[in-house]
Amino acid sequence: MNRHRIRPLLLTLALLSPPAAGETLDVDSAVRRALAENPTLRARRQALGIAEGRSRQAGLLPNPELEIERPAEKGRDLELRLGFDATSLLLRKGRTEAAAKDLAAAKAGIDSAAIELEFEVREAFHTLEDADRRLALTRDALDAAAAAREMAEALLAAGNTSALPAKAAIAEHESLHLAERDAEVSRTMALERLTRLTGLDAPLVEELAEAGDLPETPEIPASAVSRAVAGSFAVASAQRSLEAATLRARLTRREGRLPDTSVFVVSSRSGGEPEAHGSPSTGGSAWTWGGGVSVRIPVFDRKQGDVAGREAEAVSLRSEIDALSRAVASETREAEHHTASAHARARHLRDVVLPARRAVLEETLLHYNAMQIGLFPLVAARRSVIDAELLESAALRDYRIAAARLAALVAGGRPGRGPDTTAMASLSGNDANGANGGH
Amino acid sequence: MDRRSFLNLGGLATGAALLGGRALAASPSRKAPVVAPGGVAVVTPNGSSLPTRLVRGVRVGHLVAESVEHEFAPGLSAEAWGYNGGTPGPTIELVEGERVRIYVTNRLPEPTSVHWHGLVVPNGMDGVSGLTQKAIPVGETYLYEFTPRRAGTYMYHPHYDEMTQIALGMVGFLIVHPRRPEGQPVDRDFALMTHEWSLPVGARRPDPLAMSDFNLLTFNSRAFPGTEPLVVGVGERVRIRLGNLGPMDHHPIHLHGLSFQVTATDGGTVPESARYPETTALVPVGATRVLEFVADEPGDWPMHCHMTHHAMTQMGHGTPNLIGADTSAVDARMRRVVPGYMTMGTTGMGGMMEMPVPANSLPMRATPGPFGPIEMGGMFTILKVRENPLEDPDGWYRHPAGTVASLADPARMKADGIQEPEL
Ligand SMILES: [Cu+2]
Repeated sequence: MNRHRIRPLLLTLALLSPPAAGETLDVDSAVRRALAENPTLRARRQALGIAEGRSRQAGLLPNPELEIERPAEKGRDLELRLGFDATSLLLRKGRTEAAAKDLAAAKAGIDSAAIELEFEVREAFHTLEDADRRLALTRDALDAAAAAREMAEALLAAGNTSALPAKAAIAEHESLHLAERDAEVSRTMALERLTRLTGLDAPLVEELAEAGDLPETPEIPASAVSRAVAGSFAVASAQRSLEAATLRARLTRREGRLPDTSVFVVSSRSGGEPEAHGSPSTGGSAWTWGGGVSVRIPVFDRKQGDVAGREAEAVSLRSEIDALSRAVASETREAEHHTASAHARARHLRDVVLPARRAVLEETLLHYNAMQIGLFPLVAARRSVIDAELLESAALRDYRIAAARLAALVAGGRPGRGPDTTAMASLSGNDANGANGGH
Repeated sequence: MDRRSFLNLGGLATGAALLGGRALAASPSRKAPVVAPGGVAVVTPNGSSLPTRLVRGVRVGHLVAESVEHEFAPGLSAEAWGYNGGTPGPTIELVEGERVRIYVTNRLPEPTSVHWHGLVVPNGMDGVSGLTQKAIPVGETYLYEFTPRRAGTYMYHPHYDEMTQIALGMVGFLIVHPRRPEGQPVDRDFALMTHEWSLPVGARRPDPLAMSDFNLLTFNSRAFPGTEPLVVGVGERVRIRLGNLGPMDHHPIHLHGLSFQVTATDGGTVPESARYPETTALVPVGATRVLEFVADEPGDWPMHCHMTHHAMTQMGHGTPNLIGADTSAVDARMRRVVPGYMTMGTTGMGGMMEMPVPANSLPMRATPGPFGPIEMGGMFTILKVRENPLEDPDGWYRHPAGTVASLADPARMKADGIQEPEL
């Protein structure tokens, strides 16, 4: 992105002036960037050319067949024969229609993939937000554990305690270093995922924009289930595939009943002496014209097997659409419930649990001031606040991801089955619902 | 009511007026404050005396056992149990040989009884529920009637569920004045009851189950700086009656600036031949000690239990020993870890001034004094010996020039051959 190219310049400017404000990335910008730059989605869009090519191919006229023969008989020196496959011509319209359906199915698959990519970006963004907060909070916890350790070591050095409290505090502090490493790894993974999704060559460098507050009520669209089913691109794609299969079944049936018919014209030229009657002399040779029809009589092979295959494909696709609709409805209900419960959980943490933990810390500080307790319970109370903050951060992330999943479903996507980085690039004719329709 | 003016009036009719309306309503007989012949009324600092009346030659009083909202010191209150609205209960003053009828109404949530501690009464009036009487049921009024036969300093307390009722504050003095003057007359006569309580910081009800973790030590159920000073004149003869009805602890009460003699216990008068001078009197649980002295040296003199933990207030025992620990690093870090964090206690407990503390608590609070914070609390009060005790009873003693310890003059040190040790 341009922003990255201009960053060195900004850094240079930063030496002269305070850092530029607004060097932040918000989730919507990340989505826009991914829709434009995601390599997998781009590959998939390019692969649409395969279906387009097939569609175009289906509309082309069959080529005429020209035979030129020099017979061995005396008196006839050249025979021209021009044939044309009439059956193919008759079936052309049907084939074009079926190929158009395949193309529509492939396009629906790409629309679905774009929505699913958007969800993935949102998921990755909120996961990174949480990972940022988690890393900061883990460092706060490490700080608190370091304070307990320093106090225990100071007490030991002064000769006021045995080595036991200091050893326990050292063990606790050192263990938290592992949590810090874990948080760093999690953050790196989240960052790289967002980087991959947004199609960058190097990791994101912007700070994430300040996370907004939890909305007062969960963002659940009205009639989400019916909208998700009606607008599902996966269902639409399977439906286009079904239509294509139905058209092809009809076409095959017709093809089986139609005698395989070719029409042809024949022209031959006689060599040597002029005939006693007939055409005026052309100076030694004359063209004669004839024509005919070649018909393969559909007595035994009326493509019954192919027809049965096409019909079975249609029946199977119909069942698949039914299953897909039910699955989308179920996933949407699940997402609605998940959004509502994640919201309730995040709100309870924000409005009840965290204030309660902070109140314990405040009261503990008062008791510490009153010399009723020592530093260790005070540090423990701070750690409890940090634990609640970690839970709140995760709950906020879970809510945002749940709401994004629901929004994606309502927009017609099937999040969680988003762009598959290995299988996405291949897109075959009758498999338009391939990446999205499986179960 | 301003306690100071009460004190200055000597508590004569004022105490009766305080509670008379409630305890002795429609009686036709005369109010009869009790004063030792030729003596002064007993003053119960922070407390009161029970108003009594003479009805056809019998002294009549009324005790109401009840729950009381009690303030130990400004900032620390609790729901205690007591008599007639307070803890300790009002000091009952009787006269040797004068018949007395004391009505006891039980407004507690459980039965009670009253035992006249140290006093010899007919066995059925001894107040031991189950053994010498039925317990007074909730809401009932019982009558105790007897004639005190011997002058002295006694006490009263319940003898039903003693552990709970005494721990929650149901104690009081019962003083029998002699019919005829005995011993040397005194100019001041004070009564102070020691007590120990378990009241967790921030809590509102003392814990009667405590056996050793007492964190609140009191004179007349008040903790310094809530204790009212004893103001006396230079050269006055002073009597201080100490009683101990605390749950578990004996208290060595120490007086600065004078020496005294123990002239009586609740067992009777100590013969002159058995008295000896001392500055600390151990007051065991369930005993009284009467101290007498002449205060010759003017000043503000502490009077306190000499158990150091008893002259502190609401100390916790869950803090590690920080003396000598270098906590500079941890302090800097803690200010970041816990906003609002303050450092304490690495050079001793002194010098700790106001920090935000839990609501309804009195921990480690230093009281402003004339020379700085007074790092005392709990069972601590001040005996103010003044040329004119009426002049400024609330103020601090004004020391004559050159009589207060202060920074040494180096020239004087050198002249005296004093060298500070090298650091
Ligand atoms: Cu003591």
